[in-house]
Amino acid sequence: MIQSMDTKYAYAVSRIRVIEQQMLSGNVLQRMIEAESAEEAFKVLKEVNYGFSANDSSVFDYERILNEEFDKVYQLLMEIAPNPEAFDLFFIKNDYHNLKVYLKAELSNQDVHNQYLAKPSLYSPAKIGDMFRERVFADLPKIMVEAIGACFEAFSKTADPQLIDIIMDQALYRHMSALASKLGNEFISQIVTINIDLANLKIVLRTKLINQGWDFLEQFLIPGGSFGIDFYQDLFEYEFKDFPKAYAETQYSQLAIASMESYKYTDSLAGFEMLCDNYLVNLLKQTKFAIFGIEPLVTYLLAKEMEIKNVRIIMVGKINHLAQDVIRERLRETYV
Amino acid sequence: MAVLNVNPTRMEMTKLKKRLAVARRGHKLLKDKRDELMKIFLDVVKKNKELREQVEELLTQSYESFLVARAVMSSEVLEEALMFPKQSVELNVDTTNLMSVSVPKFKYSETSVDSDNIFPYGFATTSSDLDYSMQILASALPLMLELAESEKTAQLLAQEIEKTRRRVNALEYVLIPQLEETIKYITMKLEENERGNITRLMKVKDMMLEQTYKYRERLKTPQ
Repeated sequence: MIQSMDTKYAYAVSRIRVIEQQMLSGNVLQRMIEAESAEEAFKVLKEVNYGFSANDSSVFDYERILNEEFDKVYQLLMEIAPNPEAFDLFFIKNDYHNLKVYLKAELSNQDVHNQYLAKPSLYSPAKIGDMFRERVFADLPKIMVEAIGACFEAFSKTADPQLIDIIMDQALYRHMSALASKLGNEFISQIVTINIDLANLKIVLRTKLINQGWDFLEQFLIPGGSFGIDFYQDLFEYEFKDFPKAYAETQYSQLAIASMESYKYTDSLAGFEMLCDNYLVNLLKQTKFAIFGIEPLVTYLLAKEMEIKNVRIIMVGKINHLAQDVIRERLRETYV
Repeated sequence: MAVLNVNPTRMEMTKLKKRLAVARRGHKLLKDKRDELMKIFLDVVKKNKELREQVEELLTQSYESFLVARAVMSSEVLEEALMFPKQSVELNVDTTNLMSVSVPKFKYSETSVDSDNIFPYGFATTSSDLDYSMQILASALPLMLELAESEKTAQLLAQEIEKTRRRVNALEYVLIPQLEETIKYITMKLEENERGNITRLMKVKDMMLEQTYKYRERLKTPQ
């Protein structure tokens, strides 16, 4: 069990422990899946007071309700955490997302629509918009500025929008690693590393599925995980069924076996993506009994993120009349 | 059937007979054209049906996996991933002549070098269901263009068939019977005249004989 003796978190942790009780359990999600209609499923969300305005919204506003719910989590953490900037690394992905949106809009002469932008972010989208108009990015962290420069340069050479995502994703994870090591918290570093490892595995699998070569994959891979580039070069030569062998000696051995098993039966990576999320949830569960430290807060944030993902899967499934089994297959494990 | 308003003269009849011959030949040609158009049309429709089934199947699959991708990704990420397409398609529309109907002919080319990598987004933050959906959509595009082409062709052919059929019918049921009728009417009229003439001649002959031989007087005076 991960333990930390950071007593300044005592209040925050006890508050989180209470709030955690309100998270949607597996039973509640089951009830939503088994609901007769999307409206019925949405009623469950109203009951638990999801978001700010669930009561006077229709089913099709679920996306807004989910955003509001996440906003709630954000506000809570900012309120109770003694050092809110510790959470920057979990929100910075929204900044990178917004940068991608502005870059793509800029390079393809589109307008930035509000619904493209992700919240909450460290830098307000309006400010980023201003920076893009003036082409002065001095206020942003160095990693971001470099990545933006690299994007402009790469795009002027190749005109390939995919490169924007590639460069920005790599910068995002590098930024997250940097912030994590600055915090010096083992649990957070572990989460970042796992995120990178799993993202890389996902990239390898998808690259193989679309028949691209190593040169293509190499530019995609995210540095900073537990494995070096050689590992992925070897892995890339393997057949899917041999992937578990490559991961045999690592913490991902079970995940690899289960994922490939799922791929064998469904011919899709959906199962693998679900298992990745489950892997993370199981890691979070280890902090269930921590009394001090930032871990329970981080856990709450990520668990809540997962919960919102689950609710989105159910709502999209319900609105589009997907079969209950199809929804259930894709549902992530719940934290509570 | 109405008879054309013409003078029942021999001259007129010759003219009408010529017109009738032309109308008959035109009718035969148009009928052949209609039959041939019909044959082509049926082929196009058959192809159309197959294409439509294929395209609908592909689109259903694509939408299904897109729905799943939509479910596991937040809407912002999805919008961002797809906001700037990597590949563009150039479409040239030409026309070709099919049984003197101008039908469209599409010619399209993709701008990207590698048709396997059509994805405009990074793989770290997106779901693989999206890849699948995009792949199917990409494979559906050529078929959709082909479908558009053949549907337009079928539509144009159908119009042409309708037009031709109307012409054939007009010739068959209106013009040709009318001409025939008129010719018959003129013939009859001429024959009637002829008969009148003969009768008149016979009468004149009678009268002339009467004048010469005075038959009637001879009959009155007993011999």
